[in-house]
Amino acid sequence: MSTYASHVVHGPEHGSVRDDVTVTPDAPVRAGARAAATRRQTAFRRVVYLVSILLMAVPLVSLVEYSVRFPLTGAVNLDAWRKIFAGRTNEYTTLDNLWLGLTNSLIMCLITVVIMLVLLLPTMVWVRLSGKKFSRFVEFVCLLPLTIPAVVLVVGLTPIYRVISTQILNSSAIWLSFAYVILVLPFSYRAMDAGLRAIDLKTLVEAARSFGASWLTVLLKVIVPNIKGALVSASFLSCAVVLGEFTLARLLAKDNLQTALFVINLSDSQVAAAMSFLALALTTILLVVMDLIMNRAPKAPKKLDASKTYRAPKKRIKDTTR
Amino acid sequence: MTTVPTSVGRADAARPTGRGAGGRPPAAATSVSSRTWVRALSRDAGILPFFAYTGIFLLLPTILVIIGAFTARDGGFSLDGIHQALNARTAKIFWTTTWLAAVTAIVGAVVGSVIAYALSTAPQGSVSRRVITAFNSVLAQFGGVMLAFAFIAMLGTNGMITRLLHSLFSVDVPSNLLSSMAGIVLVYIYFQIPLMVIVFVPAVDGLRSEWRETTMSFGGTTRTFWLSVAGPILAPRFLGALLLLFANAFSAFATAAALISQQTIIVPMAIESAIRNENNTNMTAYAQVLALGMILVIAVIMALYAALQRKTARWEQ
Amino acid sequence: MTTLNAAANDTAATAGPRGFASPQGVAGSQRAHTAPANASSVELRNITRTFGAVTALSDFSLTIEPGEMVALLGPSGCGKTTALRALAGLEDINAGTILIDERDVSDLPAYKRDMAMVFQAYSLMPHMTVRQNLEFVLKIRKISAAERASITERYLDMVGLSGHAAHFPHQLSGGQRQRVAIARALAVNPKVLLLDEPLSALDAKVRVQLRDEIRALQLESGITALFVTHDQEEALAMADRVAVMYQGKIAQIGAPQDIYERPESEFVARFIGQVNDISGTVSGQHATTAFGSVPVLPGSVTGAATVLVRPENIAIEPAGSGAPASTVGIIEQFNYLGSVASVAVRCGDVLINAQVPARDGQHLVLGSAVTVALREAPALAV
Repeated sequence: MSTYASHVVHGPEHGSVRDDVTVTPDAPVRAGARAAATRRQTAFRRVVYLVSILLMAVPLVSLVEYSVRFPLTGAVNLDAWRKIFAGRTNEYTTLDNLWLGLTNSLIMCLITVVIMLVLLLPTMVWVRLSGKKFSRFVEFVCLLPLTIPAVVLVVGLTPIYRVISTQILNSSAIWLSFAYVILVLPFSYRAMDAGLRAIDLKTLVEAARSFGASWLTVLLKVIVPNIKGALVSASFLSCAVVLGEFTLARLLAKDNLQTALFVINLSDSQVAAAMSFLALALTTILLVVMDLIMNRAPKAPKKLDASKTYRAPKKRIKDTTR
Repeated sequence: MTTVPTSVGRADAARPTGRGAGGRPPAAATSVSSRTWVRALSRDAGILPFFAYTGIFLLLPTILVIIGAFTARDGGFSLDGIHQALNARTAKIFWTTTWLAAVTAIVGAVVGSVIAYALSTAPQGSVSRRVITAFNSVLAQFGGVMLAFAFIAMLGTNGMITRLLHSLFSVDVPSNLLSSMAGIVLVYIYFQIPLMVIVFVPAVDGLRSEWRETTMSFGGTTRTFWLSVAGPILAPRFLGALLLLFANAFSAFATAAALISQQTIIVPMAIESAIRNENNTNMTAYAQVLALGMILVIAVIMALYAALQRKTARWEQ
Repeated sequence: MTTLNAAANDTAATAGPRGFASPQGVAGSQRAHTAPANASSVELRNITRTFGAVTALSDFSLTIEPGEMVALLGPSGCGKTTALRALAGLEDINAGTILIDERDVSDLPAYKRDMAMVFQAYSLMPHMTVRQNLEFVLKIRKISAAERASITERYLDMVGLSGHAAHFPHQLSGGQRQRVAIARALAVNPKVLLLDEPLSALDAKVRVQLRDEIRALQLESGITALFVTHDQEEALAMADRVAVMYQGKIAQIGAPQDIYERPESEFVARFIGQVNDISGTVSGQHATTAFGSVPVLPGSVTGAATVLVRPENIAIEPAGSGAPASTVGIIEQFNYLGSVASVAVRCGDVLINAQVPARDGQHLVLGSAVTVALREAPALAV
């Protein structure tokens, strides 16, 4: 028929091409230029990984080493760690400040995340639903804190916090959370924006409202479950920011984890080192977990197995064409 | 910041009767137009909470800083604060901060872009890539004080690396390394590189495989590709990232504070000492002028950054 | 084969010096063209490509004559893109040989193969204007600046985009971008033109228009071309020969008419166009069914079988009183599609889909009784 064809497949009996996929053992690639390029690239990547991991690990290892090895004498003991894990006891009153700072920071994590979610989520949903009117404004404001340094912000926050400390609330450190919400805006905005973009918000909301759901129900039962990953991501990032924040606390003379670390370093540097290591490790784990949760998306769909789509009829088909 | 006044203006326009500015209907308004005006407001009411909160804790402080820099002690407009600040010492502090930011930005950008390229060659789901990215995130944005301590543990007088270098190579690390400029540069680089990685990986990821394959199928070598395609496409992003790194280092406070005491060699530290100086209340104005100076520098940087972003955004098909 | 030559001889007299005939009046693969003397031949011989346990190409062989345009058609995962990329040098191969003009290029890297590729999207460099995109590839080929300018002008003119020379890709529509990509590919005068689903990312109307343009350009320049698509209509309309692929092999290769009217396997019969499954018995060269008998194609089975009849080969008439009951059915669906009508007739427990010209369908009424008959077109029995 066609003289060009040098290879035509005639399947088994019934003319259907149903041969199974030939599985050849891993055949060597023929002098592959592409494969060589890929190999070079992988080697380069591995070298870079190795160097980066070394560079990242050395500070951490040093912190641990410092925490167990008394710097001046070289004596190795776990005193610093014992002090930390003893917790808040009367025995090590020198660490009181540290526990205060840690407690404050943890409480502030909570408050900040709550305020952030309550403020940002409804706003972003509302902005997305009511057209593009305020979306650029919100985006701009949310990304602004990236460009206004904390040191600058705190200069302007000083009088505000004076008022808060004396007239509205007390001078407890946890009210720093209000300012922290601003600091976490960029990270939270980006995370939630990505999450909201990925769902068809308008349709979901309209569908729910057309069934008579109240706005609260829509928010809590329709929107939140669909952007859980983004919310977790925003929350974890906010925690990371709050735990690592130093500038505002220091300049507004409040105690948080980082300022406490700073102070404790002056009296017991080994404890400071141990605590720093814990904080760094914890924050990293926080982010890794967040990343795993966020990216549990299904992998790229496997290529369609043609044999499944074009299955030969096992029995005579009585009706229908394709 | 040049952009802030605009948002203040917009803020006023969107605000309801609360502040009484903008939005007030003309005196001869009919009842119809005031009704539509009220309706328009209630439609836009959803923005209010966000607006109020950021107004108090973000816009207000910024306004206070800017206005405060131009306010005399008795409350009137005055350029005294600015005059006082314009001396050699302030200039030196700004200069130090600037070149510190520039040097660490350049080193961070170059090294970081290499690492970013390496990361982008890994599939996005690979575990090693994600862990490394997470750790870079921590170092870049949340590290400050803890990083400083880590460096003290590494390169301080009794640091691990100090001892190692001494015993293995008989190299002596100067004992005041970390409280000197060199030490600060070193520590800054340590968080600049991760920031570059985080910012630049998306840019490298954006290089579509089709562009490389097109170049190759038409006869171009890898060199051609990097010189004529990848280079020009990545250059604006690279510059943008460089600017971000500069802004980041310029604003950094925690690291320097943790390493250096009793000195104010960079602007953020000068601001701190000005704020904490309870003896001399004039220092508040000084702090505000310094802060204004920082705002100006960062504003320029971010304006350039925005321009670069706009240029590359055009190319996204 | 012979039909192709005959057509070439017929229209050579009326066509221009390069044998280029206007695409408008000429259907399917029977466009006349004479390849210029310098067109290249391509041969892929026994190519095998595996990715771990998955075989993308299994002993795949294909010859492309100089000046010919071949389409690789098949479902996702059949290996068509792998074959194209292997030819381009963008994929390595585990076994086999690739020859261009009878020269073994299998070990040549992609940038030495003197080909040009058009991708589904993102073909153009985003940071270069249209003109710069063309001049860039010409510069790679070391063409002088003056010549570059004139070649660029000429090819942009050929695709009708001279006015857009200073625009960037993001300022052009999808169809315009692909046109530029094709102009760019042709401008370097490659040995082989490769197209990877060039129309898949475009709107339907643009697709049809661009289809004809690509074909016209290919014919006019006489370049040997290989393109990959999953759209049957595209393959049948554009190519000189269509290779239907399945699981890394070519199931059938031939002129579009051969593929459509004379499928050699059930897969090809079902993959291209539509078929009705009608039970019947095959003996000798004919299959007998309840609706009549038809000749069978080579490759059919014998004995009890399912005959695959195309909808346009089903003849429908309003049922007269003397019609045998086994051929009578009721019209269950009637869809007017403009130029044709799609009619579904239920005969007993079988639903037959027929396609009739719209004007013939005017006297067919939903719910009425009709007789179903099979036209004398050969069908495959499986």
